[in-house]
Amino acid sequence: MNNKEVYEKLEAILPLVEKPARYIGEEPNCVIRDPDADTFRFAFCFPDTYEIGMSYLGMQILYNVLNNTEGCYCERAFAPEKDMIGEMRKAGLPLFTLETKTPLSQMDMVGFTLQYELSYTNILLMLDLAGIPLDQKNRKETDPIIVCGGPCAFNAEPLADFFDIVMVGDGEVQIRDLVKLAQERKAKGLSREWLLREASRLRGVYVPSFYEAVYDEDGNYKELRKLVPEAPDTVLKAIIDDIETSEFPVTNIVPLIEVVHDRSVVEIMRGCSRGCRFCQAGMLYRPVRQRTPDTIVELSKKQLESSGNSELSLLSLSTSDHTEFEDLVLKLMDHCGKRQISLSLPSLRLDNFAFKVMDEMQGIRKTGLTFAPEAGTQRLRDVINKNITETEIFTALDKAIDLGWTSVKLYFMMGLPTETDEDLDGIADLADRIMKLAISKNGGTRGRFAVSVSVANFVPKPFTPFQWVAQDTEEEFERKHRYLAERFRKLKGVTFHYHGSYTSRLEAIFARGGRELCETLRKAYANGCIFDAWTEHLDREGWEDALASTGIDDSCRALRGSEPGQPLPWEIMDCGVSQKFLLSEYRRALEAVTTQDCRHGCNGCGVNRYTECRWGGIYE
Amino acid sequence: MNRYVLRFTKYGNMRFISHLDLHRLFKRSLKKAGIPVDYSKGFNPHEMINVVQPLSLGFESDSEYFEMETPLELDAEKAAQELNEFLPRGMSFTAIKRIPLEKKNLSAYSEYASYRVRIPGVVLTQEQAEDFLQQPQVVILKRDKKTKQMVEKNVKSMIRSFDAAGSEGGTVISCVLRCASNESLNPLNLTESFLRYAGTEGAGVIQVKRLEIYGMKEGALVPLLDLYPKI
Repeated sequence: MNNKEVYEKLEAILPLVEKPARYIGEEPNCVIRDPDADTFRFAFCFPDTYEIGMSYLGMQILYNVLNNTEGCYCERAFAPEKDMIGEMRKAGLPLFTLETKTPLSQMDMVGFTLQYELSYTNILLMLDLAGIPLDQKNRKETDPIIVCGGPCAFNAEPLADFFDIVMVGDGEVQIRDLVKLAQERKAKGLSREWLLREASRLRGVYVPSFYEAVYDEDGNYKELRKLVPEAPDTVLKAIIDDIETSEFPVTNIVPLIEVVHDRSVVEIMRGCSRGCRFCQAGMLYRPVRQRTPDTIVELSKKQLESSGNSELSLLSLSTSDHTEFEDLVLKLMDHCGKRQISLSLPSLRLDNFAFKVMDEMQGIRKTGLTFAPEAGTQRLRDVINKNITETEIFTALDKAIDLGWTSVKLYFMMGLPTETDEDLDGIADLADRIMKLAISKNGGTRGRFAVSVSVANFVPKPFTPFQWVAQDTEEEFERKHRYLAERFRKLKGVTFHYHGSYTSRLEAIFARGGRELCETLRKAYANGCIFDAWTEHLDREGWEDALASTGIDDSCRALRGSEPGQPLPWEIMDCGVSQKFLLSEYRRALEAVTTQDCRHGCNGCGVNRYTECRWGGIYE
Repeated sequence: MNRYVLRFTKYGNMRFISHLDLHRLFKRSLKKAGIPVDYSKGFNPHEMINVVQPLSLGFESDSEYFEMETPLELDAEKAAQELNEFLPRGMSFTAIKRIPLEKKNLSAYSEYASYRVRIPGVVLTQEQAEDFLQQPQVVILKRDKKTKQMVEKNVKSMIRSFDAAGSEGGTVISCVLRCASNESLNPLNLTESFLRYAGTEGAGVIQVKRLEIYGMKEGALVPLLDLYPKI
């Protein structure tokens, strides 16, 4: 099918579906080219809806890099909504790129970003809609090479059957190197096998089909055995030494419909030095690297100019940790203030400077004040190494209430290692004490003051000190939900939200599972499971059947955890942080011993074996 | 304060851009072109911009109207050109005019709009169209906003003209229908009613294009842009 035929079929079905503008492309700043037979065609796929995918900065970064790569043209595709899927199937319309309406099957390379485990069935959906064989072993020489990257790629074993190539680490330089090899293959008419072999020599590239998973007689994971002698023993992630000079987009695609985040975004830092033990991003994105205020201001200006956006947001794991944060914010406030652009500063630590900033920034509504203590008692916060104290929370709150804030959001996790009901009590007590403070400061009445408490279920992730621990069972999560709900029922003005435990269980299974899950995923997709991250779409029966029929139950390692020293499927990858460090952090956690922020002294995580860490001990 | 009205087109896939999304797109274009917009006074200030008479999702248009107020006195032609740079393919500003400030916005002057409707695969004649109009009542089916039920409505008084020309490829309907702030008639609803009257169903997607939006001046239809003398 050529793109003209796609266009015609599309014409007929667009009037029949919800929000057809999701499927038309043609947004300002999207790259429209007229590719010829030599052009290397790349489709960047986000395995969720347009509205979610277009809010993801990583796509804009790589879209920009790829379209600035000689001879390469990158387009986009997202998962169509259910109504559109139905119409496409009825009309025989394959999944196409938004830019030129070319079927995905005609691309040279199709890349998926793995941002969360519950998007995995959507990958199968998109391949299926594109008419590309789901299993890499069934693909022919003419089929596109299917690749992936993103945080979940660090344990891509549950997807090993479906991807030709998995990439880990910073993508900007790595993806260009891979595309260059694939361009050489295309020009010389070389085989897929040639490309996979050459690619496996690249930093951060993993070719799953070069290994097979070996299990012991009890079905426990034993090891990955190499099928190709030259395949690497471990795959070290790709690392950019410095993000100051790395390519960053300034002419971002501007969605024509409202998406989740409608704003300009500049990444100010990558990595985090705080060392929270539950946080996968904090380990995967080491070392901490930052852009200078001047560069950030320059990028912001250009992005705002090219998009006409009226909001700017800064992206990092911990905004206030930028070493020149005050200088940066003052410069940005100056630029934005004059142009009626609002500046949003997520994950801002509430110190004196923050209050000064918020006071000066115009148009800031004094409503949403957010804290993430993550655990209810100091003991448990020490276990997870979340260095926020109640004194800090109450000092900031005291000031915030004086300045007119009327609502506080608190984020916690439940099911953390060593957690007892006392720690759950701590969550309710904290909310209670915050409310009491507000009442006493408000002359004895609550007024409009409201506290909202949101509790997520802990999902142990690979490459964290908690990669060995068991996840709470569904029953235990539910008991804890009931327990907390009962405690909160008595607190006036406090609302309590929690997440469905089934979703968290699936997340845990896919976060730490191995290749045995490829079959589970296939089965779930065959049962009609897609958009699993959407509560309204999650098909529990479909999943129960898929899990049961492939022998995945509560006794699996992904849920029940394992002893340190036992083999883990993701050990094929090296994220820079050593397993030795993770284990030492795990042991400290069990003793509730905290580890300092790297800036106060290097903790020896190991990432500086591969690159210069500029942050270790800068505050010593 | 200066008030400008701009005429724009909506072709191709841009027909799927909703009224709200248009607002956001124009706000962006203005920001990008460096044209500040005035804000209304009051507790919740909003930008003084207005897209006249929302067009149904899926309709194309030759002439849509966008008005705005700005503290700047613009070089009108240059401004339109700069605004166009940002607009996606299928949308462009084709005229701009400075008009006097007043309390009412342009939507208040809209009375009628003309449309061209293409019905593929069905050949209908002018005679049938005339018979259709001759009925004592011309009834359309419309979804009631509150009850969500389909209800009948007599719209005869809202039709100014309704002509059909059939050929091999299908039928083209040209019509002028009521399009005012208090009442308006959707050409697709009327076309569907006509098809039911003629005892047929369309084959394929019915395409609707708005050609012009009119105000009234001395009993005659006048395109909105021409209601005002040039200032």
